Amino acid sequence: MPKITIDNQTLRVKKGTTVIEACKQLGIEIPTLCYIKELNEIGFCRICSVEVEGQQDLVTACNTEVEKGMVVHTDSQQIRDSRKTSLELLASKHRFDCWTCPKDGICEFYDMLKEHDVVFEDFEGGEGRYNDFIPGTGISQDQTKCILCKRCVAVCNDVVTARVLKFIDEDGLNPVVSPTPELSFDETACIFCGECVNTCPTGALQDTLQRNDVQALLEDDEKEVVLQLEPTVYRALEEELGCKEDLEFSEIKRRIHHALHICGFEEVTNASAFTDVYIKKQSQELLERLNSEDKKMLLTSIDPAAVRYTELFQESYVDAISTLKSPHMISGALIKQHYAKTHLNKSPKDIAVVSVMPTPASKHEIAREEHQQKHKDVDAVLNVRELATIIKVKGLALDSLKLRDLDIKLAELNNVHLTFQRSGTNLEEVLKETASTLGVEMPELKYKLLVGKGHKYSEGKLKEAKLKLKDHKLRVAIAIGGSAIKELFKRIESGVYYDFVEYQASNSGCSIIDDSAEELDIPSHDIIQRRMHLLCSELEETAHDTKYLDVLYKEFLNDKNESILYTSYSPKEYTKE
Amino acid sequence: MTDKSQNINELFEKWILDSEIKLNEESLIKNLLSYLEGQHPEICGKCTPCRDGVIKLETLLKRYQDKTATLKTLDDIEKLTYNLRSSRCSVGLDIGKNMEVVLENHYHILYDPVKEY
Ligand code: SF4
Ligand code: SF4
Ligand code: SF4
Ligand code: FES
Repeated sequence: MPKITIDNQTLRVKKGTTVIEACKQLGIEIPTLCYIKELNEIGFCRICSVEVEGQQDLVTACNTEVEKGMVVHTDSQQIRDSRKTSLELLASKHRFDCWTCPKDGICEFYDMLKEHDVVFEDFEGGEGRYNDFIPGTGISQDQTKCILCKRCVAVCNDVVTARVLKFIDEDGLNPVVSPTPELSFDETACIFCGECVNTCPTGALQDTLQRNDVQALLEDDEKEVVLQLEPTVYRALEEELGCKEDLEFSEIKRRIHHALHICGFEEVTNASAFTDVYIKKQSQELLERLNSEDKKMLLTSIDPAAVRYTELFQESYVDAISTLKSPHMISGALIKQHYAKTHLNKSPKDIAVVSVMPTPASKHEIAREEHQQKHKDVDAVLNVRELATIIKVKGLALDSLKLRDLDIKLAELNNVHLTFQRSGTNLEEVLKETASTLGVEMPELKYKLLVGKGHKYSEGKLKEAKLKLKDHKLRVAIAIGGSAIKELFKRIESGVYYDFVEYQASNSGCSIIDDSAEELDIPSHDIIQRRMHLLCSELEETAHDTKYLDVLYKEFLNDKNESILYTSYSPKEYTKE
Repeated sequence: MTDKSQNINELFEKWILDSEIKLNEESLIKNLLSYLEGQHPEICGKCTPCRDGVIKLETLLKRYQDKTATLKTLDDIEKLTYNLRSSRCSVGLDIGKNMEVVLENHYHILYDPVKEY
């Protein structure tokens, strides 16, 4: 264990420890921009520079290992000047229009400029290094804001394994980070998982905004707009909107409903209202596959990013994906095709459905060609921030809202608190349902963890379990994160047969596996992390009244109408280079 | 290293680093600029101090040519030069070292025109 001195404090650290990690042990936080532990220790930005006695050159704390007897200074005037100079240089190639920037308020770069007292005259900022805007249905890139930290490249390559983003340095003075030049994200192998957006320290990578489309729908007098959201979104919204009082959940919900109503969302429903339909139908699908001659694996279709991953990279397993639409699309379809008539007295064309979803993959999902039917199931997908902005623009403050009775017709679709994550995974729910159809007890699932023992963001999780349901012996698996999904398919290719798999491509959002974002060291802005936790947090359960479901099954979901729950998948092409 | 930058390096050593040689402002700036520009092909683009710092140094030196340099220009040149010590590889580090020597040997040439600002 080498002994070293940092800012006059001596300590022993394990061999191979980096200076930055050693500093952490002393409670010294070295500022960083490009660093992601173990994933991006590349020393590009040079913000983490420190002085080491006996060395003329400065040393980057993020990728320099400690040496015996090293004496480190982290906070001299020269170090501060150097950091500031590097920040000024980055700022001089950055366009600052923070007020329109999707990262406003959650921007690591901005925070760092502020902490280091960077002055505008000193860097003559204004123009971005490049002015291109790379479009995409789920995510986009505004290159005026890229500071070339390469974090997104590391995450897309090593965590997601999609290898969409590249650091192109043919012109050393003007490198560019982007997908293959001239391609939109939809033409690449991007699965729209959003991991790069979360890790980008600037607003360069961003969810593709659909707020303007929604504003247009809200202003359209012909349209009645139904908003569907998960109950956890209320907490995240409360955080975004800033509420002074400490309010009970039910009160928050009531106020937010009011605000949304004033904004023009006539109805607000729970996006999980039809989870039950998804589970029942998926269980039927599973039983069919278990009973058929040529057994065929079943992959869940909940996560559009995982579905796209399969379509792009695992052509031969596309027919394994459950043909059920994802839950919010099912819900959109039911609202338009059934509730419009029964509850709203409207025809589907007069209804617009807007979903609030945690990953940009859902924004891409509604643009899939398979979903371009006469009445789209869902017309737009917002993230929580976009929805908060719609409320803010109206000048509505939760604290002082005047509450009155609202004329709500779809209330029964709102008082549902059931969400997947907290009632067991979707996979478990489907197995339970299957057990009950077969008239047997659901055995306790004993998982074996195959990937993810180190709780690392980069590796994700993969676990499997074996169980018996009456005459059927099943092997099931859950995979989360691109690298774990890749590992899953490797195992399948090598001959392991799974009957049923649930998978999710993003590993920084709500995990479908026991531990959530809190336990992983996710490389994003603190506030982004906190909001992600809020989106995964537990809520006090309220009674789950399922009468509406009985009615739905009885009066609508018969053989004739069932087709609205299903979609199709096909191998998708992308441009490699 | 390309042939071109090799030649420029030699030139740089002869003209700029040698404190015995008497240079005037015009030729110092001209030589410095051609040295820095000659380094462009070597710059790999990975780290901030070198990729963006060298260009910024050139912008500041050109201010001497347009007679718009001020004391702050010189101050910034010094900062950018020091910051090259945090470059990622020897390309930036060497440019930094050469610039440091220039500042040491010919400081007055850069200081004189801006001292009253
Ligand atoms: S990336 Fe950050 S600093 Fe740049 S415009 Fe957006 S909020 Fe402002
Ligand atoms: S959204 Fe995911 S797949 Fe697409 S570029 Fe970003 S990290 Fe890569
Ligand atoms: S897009 Fe964002 S994460 Fe990627 S290199 Fe640029 S600033 Fe860094
Ligand atoms: S954080 Fe160390 S060089 Fe960027």
